[in-house]
Amino acid sequence: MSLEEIKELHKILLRFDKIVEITSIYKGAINYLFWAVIAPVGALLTAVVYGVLNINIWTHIIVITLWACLIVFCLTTSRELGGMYGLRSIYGREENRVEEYLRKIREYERKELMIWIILFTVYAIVTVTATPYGTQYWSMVVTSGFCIIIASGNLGTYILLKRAIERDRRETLIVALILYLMSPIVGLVSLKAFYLGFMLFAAVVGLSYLCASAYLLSKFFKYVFLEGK
Amino acid sequence: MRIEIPKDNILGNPIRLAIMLHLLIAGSITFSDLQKALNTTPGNLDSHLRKLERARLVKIRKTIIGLRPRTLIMITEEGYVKTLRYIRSIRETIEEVLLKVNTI
Repeated sequence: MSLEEIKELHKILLRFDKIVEITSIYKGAINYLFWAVIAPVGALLTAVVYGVLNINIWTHIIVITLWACLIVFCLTTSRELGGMYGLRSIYGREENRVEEYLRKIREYERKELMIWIILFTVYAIVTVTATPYGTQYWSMVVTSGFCIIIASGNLGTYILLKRAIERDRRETLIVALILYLMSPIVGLVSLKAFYLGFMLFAAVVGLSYLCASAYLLSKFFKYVFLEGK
Repeated sequence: MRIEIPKDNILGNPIRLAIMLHLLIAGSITFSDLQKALNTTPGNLDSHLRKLERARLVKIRKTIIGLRPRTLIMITEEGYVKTLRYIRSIRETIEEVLLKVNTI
């Protein structure tokens, strides 16, 4: 192998590394875009189900099944794309050995799942059993409470990821901040008119994921147009 | 000049490395698309995929795409990290060689 060939191979490997990084960021952005569509669609379908059917245990079961299907669909597609763990891998590959990294990631995934289960359980208990249905208090808790739950879940993801791979994954923080900031407004609008508040809630959730996607897309375009030259 | 490439029983094979490089970019790919891209026989590709699956670097799933049954190959997180680090170790080895050549 000549020196020129070795230099050429080195250039190709460097370029390949960059391509993997860029495609991972792009897939991450697509993944958030997907959530930005699915979350408001799910919220609106929930509104339709509760609007058409009476509020009883069967309606709750239908809504929970609907959300479970949407979440499983999103997670399966995300895994097929390989975007989210692609992002994790490109950020967290330098620190330690492969086995150590994978152990940390498995631990992170277990904790993340626990956080989401705890948050949704608390939300279900508060809205279904602890809050009197039909009151203004209930209207506020259903919408702004859900905003806070999703924000807390994303904040938990951010903190856990930071501990696991020791890097800032700001897109999750963006989702959390937008939802925390908008939850009082959503709550106030829900007090005035519940359906309006619910629509605003769906829009805010979609917007927060859209902003996370835009953040990743801006990184992607920065790589392609500025650093790629 | 001789370069000492880092040893890896699974990724050391050029076809298996090519499969993993395809999957690093695409995330998932169908068996027929991968066969076309690598220009190899189905039997050969299948045996390499089984080895990668046993090493937990890929997942193989039967699925229906466009009303036709297809075999979908997906990269796992382990596959992602191991391939990235393998490429990186090759790059670092080359960098060391280039550095030595420059200093001489």
